[in-house]
Amino acid sequence: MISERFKLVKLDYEFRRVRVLFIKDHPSLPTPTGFVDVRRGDELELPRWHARLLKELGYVEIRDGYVDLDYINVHHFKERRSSGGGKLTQVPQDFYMKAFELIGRLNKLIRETPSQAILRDREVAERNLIDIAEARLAKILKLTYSGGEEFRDKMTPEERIIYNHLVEVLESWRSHVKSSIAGAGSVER
Amino acid sequence: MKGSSVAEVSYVERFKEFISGFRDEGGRFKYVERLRRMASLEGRSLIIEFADLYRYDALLAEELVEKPHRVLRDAEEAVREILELEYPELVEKKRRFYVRVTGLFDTVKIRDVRSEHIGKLVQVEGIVTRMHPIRSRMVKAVFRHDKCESEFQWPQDEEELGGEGRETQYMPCLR
Repeated sequence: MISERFKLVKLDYEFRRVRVLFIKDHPSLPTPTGFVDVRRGDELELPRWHARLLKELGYVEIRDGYVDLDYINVHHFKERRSSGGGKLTQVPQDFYMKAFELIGRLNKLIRETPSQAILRDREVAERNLIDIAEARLAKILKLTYSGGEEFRDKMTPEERIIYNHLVEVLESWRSHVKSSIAGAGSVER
Repeated sequence: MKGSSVAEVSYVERFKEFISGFRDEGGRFKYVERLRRMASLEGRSLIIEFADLYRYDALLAEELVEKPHRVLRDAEEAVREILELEYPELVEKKRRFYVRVTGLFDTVKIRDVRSEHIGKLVQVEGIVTRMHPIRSRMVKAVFRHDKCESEFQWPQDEEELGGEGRETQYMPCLR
C-alpha cells in the first residue's frame, strides 16, 4: 500500500537524530545507551520525536531547528520560476515533513494565541505548499512518461514513492499491450 | 502617475496596502514604523525585505523580480503618496524617495550573470574592495540649440535619464 510507505517516511523522519541544547537540568534522561544526567547547557543528539517531547516540557531548544514560513516561500518562488522548463528543482529531502511540522505548529499557535499575522502565515503556508506539491507532481508525471531517472535525486522520498509507483503502473500497462499482441494469434486470411 | 496603465496603478495600490498592512510576528506594522523612522531622520530610502513582500503578496514580489523598473517606480510612488498624508513638508523637500529591496531568495554569482538577467532584479554577493568619492549622475539634461537658442529638457515630465541610453535624437525647434 502506498500510504504505508508514506508512513514509513514519516517514521524515518521522526527517528532521525537532531541536536538539542538543554536549557534546564534533566536528571536520569532515558537514552538508547542508558540513563544520563544532563545539565543545563549540555548538547545531545536525540531522535526528533524525543527532542520535540522535551521541548514541549521546556527542557531543550532544538538546534536543527524548526523552519518558518520563508522556508516554504523560498521553494515556492524557485519552483514557480522553474515551472516553465519542466525541470524539478532541488528541495531538501525532508522538505514536506518540515513543512507539515510548520503548519502543525502554526495550528497550535492559532489555538493558543491567535493573531492576524499567524492566521495569514497559516493560510499562505498551506496555499504555497499545495502549489509546490502540485507543480512538482505535474513535473513528476511528465518525467514518468519521458523517463526521468536523472531527476530521481531531486525528488523527496515521498515523491520517489509516487514516481516508482507510476513507473510500475506504466510498465505493467506496456507489457500487457505487448503480451496481448504476442498472444493474439494469427490473423485469418 | 502620468501615463500609467491600469497594471501600474494597481502596483502603487498594492504597495500602499503592503506598507500600511504588513504586520510582523509581534503584530507591529513594520513598514509603517520604518517609514515614520525614515521621515523623522529625513531619509529618502525605505528598505523592504523581499521575504516580507512575498509573505504578503507573492505575485507582486514575483513581478518585482521580473519588472523591477516599473514595479520599483510604483513602489516609490506608493511611499510618496503615503508620506504626503503625514509629512507633506518632507515630500516637498525631498521630492523623490527610494525603495530598496533586500534578501532576495536567489543569489547569483557575478560570473553567472547572463543575458537572461537583463532588466530583472538580481542579487549578487561581493566584497567592497575599493571606494571612490560620490560621482554625479545626469538625471535630466537641458539642451540649447546653437542657432535659435531654444532650450528644452530631456527626458520630459517626471522621467529621469536611466542607464538605458535614452538620449534625445532631435531638437524640438527642428521638427
